[in-house]
Amino acid sequence: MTRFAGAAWLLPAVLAVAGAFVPYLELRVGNQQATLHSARQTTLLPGDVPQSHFYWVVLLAGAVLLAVAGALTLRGTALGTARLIGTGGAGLVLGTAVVLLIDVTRFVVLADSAAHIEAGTWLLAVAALLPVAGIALTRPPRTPDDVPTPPMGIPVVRVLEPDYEEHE
Amino acid sequence: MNRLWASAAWLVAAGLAIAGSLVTINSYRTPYETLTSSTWTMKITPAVDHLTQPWQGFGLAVAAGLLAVAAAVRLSRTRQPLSRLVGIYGTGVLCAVTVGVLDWFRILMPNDRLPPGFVAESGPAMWFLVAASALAIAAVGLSLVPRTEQSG
Repeated sequence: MTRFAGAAWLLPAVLAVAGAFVPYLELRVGNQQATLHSARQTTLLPGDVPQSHFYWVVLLAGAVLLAVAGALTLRGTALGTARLIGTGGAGLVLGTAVVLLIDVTRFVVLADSAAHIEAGTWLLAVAALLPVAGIALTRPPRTPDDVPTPPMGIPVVRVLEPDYEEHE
Repeated sequence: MNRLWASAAWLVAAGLAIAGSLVTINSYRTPYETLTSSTWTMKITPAVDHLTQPWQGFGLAVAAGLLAVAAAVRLSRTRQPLSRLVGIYGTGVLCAVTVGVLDWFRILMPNDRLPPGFVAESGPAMWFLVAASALAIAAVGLSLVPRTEQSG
């Protein structure tokens, strides 16, 4: 189970890094490429200066958090911490994927056949969804995680009444 | 007490995210028309028939929903670890979408490339979103502080 959980963190980390650089959308006019969109930049018509973007930075930050969560999970130590770190990374990747998928949807609706969905879209979609499996599979051992500290910091030991068997 | 503060911070962050998605992000005035944008809509005065809408507010609505759920679960005094996970997830989504909107805002405000007579003005949306992200991160910090309860 630990291996599956580790893979569920590490695989989306790799996919998010790939998705940060692989184009997710291409617009064509006729048979010619007009613009090529990636999380790093939008390449306009040949000769124009590309428009740079920030999305790749967030994707890389999310990928680093997912990778740390994967490493901790595979080591089998600090599973609770791994799950918290991985969840933060998953949120970053999901948020960026939502922003870029909205962009794709807009262009597909607006430009219709001129918009071509590229591999980056699928990489980001999977990278956004897969960490949910990591959250579900990484189960820290049951510890008194949120048990409130007792008054004065001293735990109260509850002594149970012993069960006496009645002997005749 | 940390539970209350974290819940309150997540709720306020959710409110700021929704407000930030609705208020003006920027307006762009030319001698002939004015373009006003929020993360949901773009309006041109005088009106035109077909205008692309940004829809970025959808991501903010998702983030705000997650933060509101995290706050509600945390206030219910049960399932604290679940609340923490949902809150951290929502905070990540909110930060990422805020960066996405910031990227779009940067493209909408090309002050260094505007022709004479064209004016771009920023609205309050970016401030709302940055404040929401900062508050959500602070709430994550509060939710990670171990609970201590003193009896009367």
